[in-house]
Amino acid sequence: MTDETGDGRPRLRVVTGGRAGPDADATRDEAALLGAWLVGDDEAFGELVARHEPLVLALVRRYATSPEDARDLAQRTFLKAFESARRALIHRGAAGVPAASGLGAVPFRRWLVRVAVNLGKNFRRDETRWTRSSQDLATLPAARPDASQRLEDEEASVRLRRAALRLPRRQREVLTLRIDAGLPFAEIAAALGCTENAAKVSFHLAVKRLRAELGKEDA
Amino acid sequence: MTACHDVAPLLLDRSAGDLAVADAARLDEHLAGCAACRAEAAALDRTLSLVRLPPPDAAERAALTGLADSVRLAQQASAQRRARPARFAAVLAVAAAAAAFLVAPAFTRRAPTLTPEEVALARAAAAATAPASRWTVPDPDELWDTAGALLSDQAAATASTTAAPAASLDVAATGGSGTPLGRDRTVAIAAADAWFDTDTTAR
Repeated sequence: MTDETGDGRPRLRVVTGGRAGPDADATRDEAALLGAWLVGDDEAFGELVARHEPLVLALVRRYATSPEDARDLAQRTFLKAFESARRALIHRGAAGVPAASGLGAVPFRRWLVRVAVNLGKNFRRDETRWTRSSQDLATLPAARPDASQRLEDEEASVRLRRAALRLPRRQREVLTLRIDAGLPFAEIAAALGCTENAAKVSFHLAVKRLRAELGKEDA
Repeated sequence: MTACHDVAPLLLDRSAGDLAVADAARLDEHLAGCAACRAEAAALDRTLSLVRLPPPDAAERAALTGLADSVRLAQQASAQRRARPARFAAVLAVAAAAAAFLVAPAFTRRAPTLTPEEVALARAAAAATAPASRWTVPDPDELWDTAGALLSDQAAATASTTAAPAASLDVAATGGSGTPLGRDRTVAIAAADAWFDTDTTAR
């Protein structure tokens, strides 16, 4: 983000907390898109999917065992979130809550996050025959002088990604929302229904466990 | 070698990309002079970089193209599935209404539409004749007996007074048509008329 300084040169300003969350304008815009979709506007539907597709895919890739699984999880995530939005909008419309008031706006992005995380968790639970995941499918490096080191890193990476899926639920959710989706801790806390501080503590514990796993293998 | 206690949380924030601007300068200054914290920061960076997923490869990107269209199709199919029970319920409701329309007359009886005055009048008439004159279905044999008694009375009266010819009674019974109905039947009609008058009064 840039600001103009007195001499006309742009001054860089660092925004912390990862990717910026949706601001008020985006929320209003999203409410308008949802309202248009509800009355059958296909373009609004496509815009909503395109807007949130990277976020959903980033979240479900962690749990998918193949690209087809990732696609299926993403599709189900959108379907469930749209269904929830449809019910909420119809219910609020029947209750006479105007969408423009802000009270009628539905937390569509937050629902997507929660649905994606829950579907991913259920998918992992049901995948008892799991033998390898997309994380294992990472192509091995070609033979190069530093191939040995890269191969070692690759193996460690696969181990850690598996260990990440074995983390306690809250720690795993915070970790994936942070490093896969790049959500700020405030948005993670809102999506998971906890405080920002609790989300940070969960992240700290997750990293601590992963480091222990890495150290165990290194030893 | 462990990190300094007071900057340990900042090291994790830094690796997670969540370090506040106000803390960044202080941490950089500390890292410049603390080898233990530099090692800790490097270990955290390595852990998080290893646990991150690789970017989508070509096969994954190809599988994920057209996601919006597939979501739209799945949503339309879902909407059709939702509408199916509703359509079935509507057809069922129409069939039930038609059946009720056809069957209802067998179970219903039109209620009398009498005015309060008519009701009061009927009650008064019933009170005047009740309870002895409550109407019952007449016994045909009794009816014929009544006809016979009337005939006997009439014959006796004729013989004792004007001795009118029987033929004139027949003519009167035919209502002037000239066709004799027969004595018994004439008397029966008279008895039936008497019964009818009585019945009407009773009702």
